[in-house]
Amino acid sequence: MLLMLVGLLMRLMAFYTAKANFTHLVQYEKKPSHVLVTDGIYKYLRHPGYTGFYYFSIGSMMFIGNPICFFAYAIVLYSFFKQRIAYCNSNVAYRNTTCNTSSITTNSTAKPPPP
Amino acid sequence: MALIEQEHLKVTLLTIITFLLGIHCGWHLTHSTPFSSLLYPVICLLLIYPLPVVLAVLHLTTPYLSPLPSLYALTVTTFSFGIIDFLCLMHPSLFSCYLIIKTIYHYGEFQLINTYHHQQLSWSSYLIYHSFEYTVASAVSLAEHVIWAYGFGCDFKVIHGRFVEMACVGYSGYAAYACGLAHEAHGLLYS
Repeated sequence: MLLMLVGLLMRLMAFYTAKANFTHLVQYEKKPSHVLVTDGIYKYLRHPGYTGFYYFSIGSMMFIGNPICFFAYAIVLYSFFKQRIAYCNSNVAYRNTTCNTSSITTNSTAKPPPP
Repeated sequence: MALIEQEHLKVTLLTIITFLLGIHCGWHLTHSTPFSSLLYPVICLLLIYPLPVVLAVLHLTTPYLSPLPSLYALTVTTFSFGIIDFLCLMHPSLFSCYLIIKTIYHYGEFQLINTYHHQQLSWSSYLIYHSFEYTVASAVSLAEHVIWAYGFGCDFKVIHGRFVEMACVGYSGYAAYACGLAHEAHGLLYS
């Protein structure tokens, strides 16, 4: 249960910190309102929304005692987020931004800079 | 900005009302006392009868929710959350606790969109039907839990012996799902 609640809390903190920069869909264009979020939980985690969902999902399977789904969720979600994060990192706005921390939201994204 | 906040608050209020209505209906599913017969008309007068008026007003004054199926889907979903949470509290178990936390999670996702991206608000904001894969994963996890519960006697008090209540919850969920799909279809047809 602790794992599930930690995951849920992490995701809620990501909502709270990123506010309007948090979206459910990856953004392909940088809007004027998009800002690089480097405070709050984003100071410590680069993808708290994804991390929170990952721990929430596998924690919930552990909580209700589903051993098969626990391992299946862990593997499938890990591969899904690995691809998603790689994709996000190739497009994010901070490619043109000086960032002093290692934490960044993937939700304020922009078109990749021209080669 | 004030207008935005008002729109956000209206939807929040609506979901809270329907959530309470769901709790009320859940309560009536599990209780049959003289007090319940007295409480029923009072709650009907306060919640059930004004609801069509509330829906109509919101429908007219909230342009981004103008497709009625969307508004109905939002309210039916929180209604089913109310029933689920009440039944889970009445029959505490690990699975009940899991369901309550799941409803909090989905409502949190909905409130995120409602608060910060209200123009994009739709039934999908609950993330209940995130994708086909997500639905399959949910169904598989539920199936596995049922197998462990009935096959090996694990904790599963919510469903066991409560088929009528669970049928109501299932109906609410199905109604929300159908309305959500109707809304998506509406968006595809008229976009």
